[in-house]
Amino acid sequence: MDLEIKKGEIFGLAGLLGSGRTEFAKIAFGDEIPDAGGLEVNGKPVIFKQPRDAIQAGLAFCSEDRKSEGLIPNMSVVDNITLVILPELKKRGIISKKAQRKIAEAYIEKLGIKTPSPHQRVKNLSGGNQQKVLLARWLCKHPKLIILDEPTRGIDVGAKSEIEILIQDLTTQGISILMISSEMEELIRSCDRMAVLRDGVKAGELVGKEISEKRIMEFIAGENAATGAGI
Amino acid sequence: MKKPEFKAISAQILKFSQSNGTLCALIVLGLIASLSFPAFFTPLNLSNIVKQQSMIGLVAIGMTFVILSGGIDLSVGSIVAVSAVISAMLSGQFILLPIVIPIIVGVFIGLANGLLITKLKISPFIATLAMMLGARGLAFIITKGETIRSETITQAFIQISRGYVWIFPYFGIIFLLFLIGASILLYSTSFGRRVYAIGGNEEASRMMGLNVDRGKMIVYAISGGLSGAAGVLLTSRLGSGQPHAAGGWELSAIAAVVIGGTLLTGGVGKMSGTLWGVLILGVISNMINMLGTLEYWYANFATGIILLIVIMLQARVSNQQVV
Amino acid sequence: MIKNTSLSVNDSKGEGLVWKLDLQRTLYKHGTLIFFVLLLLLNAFITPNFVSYGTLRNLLLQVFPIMLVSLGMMLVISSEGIDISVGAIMSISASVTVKLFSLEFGLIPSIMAGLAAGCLCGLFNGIMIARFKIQPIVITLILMIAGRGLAQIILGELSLSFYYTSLADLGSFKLGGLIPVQMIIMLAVILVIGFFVKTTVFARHVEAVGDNCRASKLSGVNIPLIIIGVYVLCGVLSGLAGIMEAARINSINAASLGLMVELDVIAAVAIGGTPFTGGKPRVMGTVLGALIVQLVTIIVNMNNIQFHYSLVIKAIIIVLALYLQKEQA
Repeated sequence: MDLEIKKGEIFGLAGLLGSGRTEFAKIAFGDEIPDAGGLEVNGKPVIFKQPRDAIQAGLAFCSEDRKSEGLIPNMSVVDNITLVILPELKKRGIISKKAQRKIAEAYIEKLGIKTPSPHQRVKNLSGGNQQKVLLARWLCKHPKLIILDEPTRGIDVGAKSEIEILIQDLTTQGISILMISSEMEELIRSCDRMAVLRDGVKAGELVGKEISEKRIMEFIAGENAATGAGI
Repeated sequence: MKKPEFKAISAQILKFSQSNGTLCALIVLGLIASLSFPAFFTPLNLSNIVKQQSMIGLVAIGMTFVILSGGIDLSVGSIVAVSAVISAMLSGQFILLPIVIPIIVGVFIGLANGLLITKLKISPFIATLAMMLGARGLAFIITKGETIRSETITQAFIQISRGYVWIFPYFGIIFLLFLIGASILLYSTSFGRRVYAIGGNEEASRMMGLNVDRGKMIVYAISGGLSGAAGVLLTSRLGSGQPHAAGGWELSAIAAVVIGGTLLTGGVGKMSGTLWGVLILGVISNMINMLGTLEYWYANFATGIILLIVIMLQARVSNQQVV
Repeated sequence: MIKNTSLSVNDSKGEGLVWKLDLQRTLYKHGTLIFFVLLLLLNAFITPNFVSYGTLRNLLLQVFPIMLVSLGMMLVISSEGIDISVGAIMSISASVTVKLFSLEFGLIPSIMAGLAAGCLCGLFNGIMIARFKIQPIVITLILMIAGRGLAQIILGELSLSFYYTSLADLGSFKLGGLIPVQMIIMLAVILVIGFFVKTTVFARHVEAVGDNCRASKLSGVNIPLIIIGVYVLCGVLSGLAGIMEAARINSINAASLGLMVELDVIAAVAIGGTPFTGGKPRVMGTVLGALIVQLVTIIVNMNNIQFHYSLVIKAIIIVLALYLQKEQA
């Protein structure tokens, strides 16, 4: 499986459940170890033994299961947002609560996170706002690539479009996005390029105008589809 | 033996040991014991091990249910004590009383645990920890701190612990019966499946419409009842009712269940595993005894080391994720 | 259940000044403190000779080992773990110190060695849990079983005394002739741990790991470091408690030092409000919890109540404390 993601583009990953999309993401992020193959960042081969290594190389990962793999439920919005950058907020060895709050409030405003107070426990927020908190956490780190796994799952329509706009916004800052989604329209709307996975391998790649529901379904269906056009 | 045949056989052995790690550990341990101590593999010694372990075995059976459901019961030792003491107090009476009443008391204490956990929503660890203290105190209060002496305990009652059917001790048969009953309950009834479901994913079980709270209450009631039964056996064995008895039994029971391959997180495990775990603990204790001249502190240390090895091997060999 | 109570105060001008005394909220937030104060007051009335300098001194002296170990246990529990080997670690560390001391190794090196022993025990627990993925209760149970045996092996015998030595003097040392060294150490530990929990990245990571280990890993938290760290801290604190306790009574009995301390300690942490499913460590709560637990023991003693009643009382307090905390969350 070969994927190449360019700077500032949104690269989509489509495929049925079980096609290996999340597994691929976790391998890329260092959460799981591949049986074979390797990763390259900016042309240089790297090995990620755990998420920490990937984070240091500039990667970020929003899991599809926000509740159990993303947020720390009983911690506040502030604490969740600043979780990854905590080491950088130390003043003379002590965590600066002021710096924490400042950054958190900045992102609360920028992303439009609706919460009664920055110290509210994140488990009490709505799905959409929880996703924004998760996003904010990674944005603090100014990553080069953010992997989003089902970013709008379980989120109401209004928040959904907000988040889609946010994602588009990120690319203007030069951040690359790898978006995994089961929602075809979402992918078609947002992605610059896309790969379709089937049974753990890349069935095909689509660029720009090629991206359409028809083409995606062709790759997903595989040999059974009409004509072996360009696979 | 030709090479491919050898490979096939060793692959089969590996597969067996992976899914029956504990049994293999028991066999290995048994082999070591037989080779080191000639007196080990004799009917007398083996039946002694069974007799000794059947009490804690009952507790471990109950603990298996609890741990499978994702919980834990630290109060079992104290429940044994309460039931042992009540059994001793009632033993002069009609024979069924000292047997049935303590078990009922155990069930009630178990239900109390269940209430703390399901209604007051206290985590099982703390709830049963508190009950451990409370029930122990209760045992002392009932007996006013003294041991109920043997004069009040009838000979017939004590005979339960001494009797044999051919080479099989009564205790062993009782343990086996309970084990079979528990296995039927666990594997062949919807309740048993419910236990596994609750332990595997409580949220999902609730959403599927399973009565999670009732399931938990029953599980702790079973644990309490079995501990109660163990208390009856204990009194029969000791010939007296001691309020400070069965200290540390909860830890042995947990150890037996965990060694047997049941995950503490719940949802995974087998009743047979608990059986092997209980026997492993018995064999270890037996081996330590046979060394005889050992000061008891070396005994404790050795027990710990052997347990450590067993657990580490189990974590390696077993197909299941972790101990 | 206590219902909301309103208190209305009208000032003299007749304009309504309404203070709503939210009794429920106040009780939950400061429950432990309120309970502690109530317990003190109750005893001031019913226990003979309670209100005296001697009682206070006894309380602070006797609570010393529980306090230290509770703070260590608090961190372990915050990380969603448990350590029931703390009593055994107390015994091991004390045995190492006393044995080396009796072999003329000198006071400071002996103590250092004892603390190192506690650290090693913690390392053992932590590595087994983090690297070999063995459940905390199982591995600390194993250490608990083997530990006292190990302590006796180190000691070479069941018990050892060392009256009239520098170690014994350390145990009864009083700053300015008045303040026992135990109180000083205890205060220092409380302050250090309190500061640590409030201000370090490590402590935040402990809380995150305890609350949601998976999410913490994906956020780059060094899980093995955190886990090993809390068990080592717990081990060192237990070791310190063991050494000082032995020093205080001028002898060590490997079988009985710190016996059953894990029960009181777990009770203290539970009462203190640190969630047993992992989460925020509550330092002040744990301190009060330790004091409450020790207070119950003292009350039972001073009123000549039999020991087993203290078990029942502690059990009820634990259930009550947890019930109130559940309501709050």
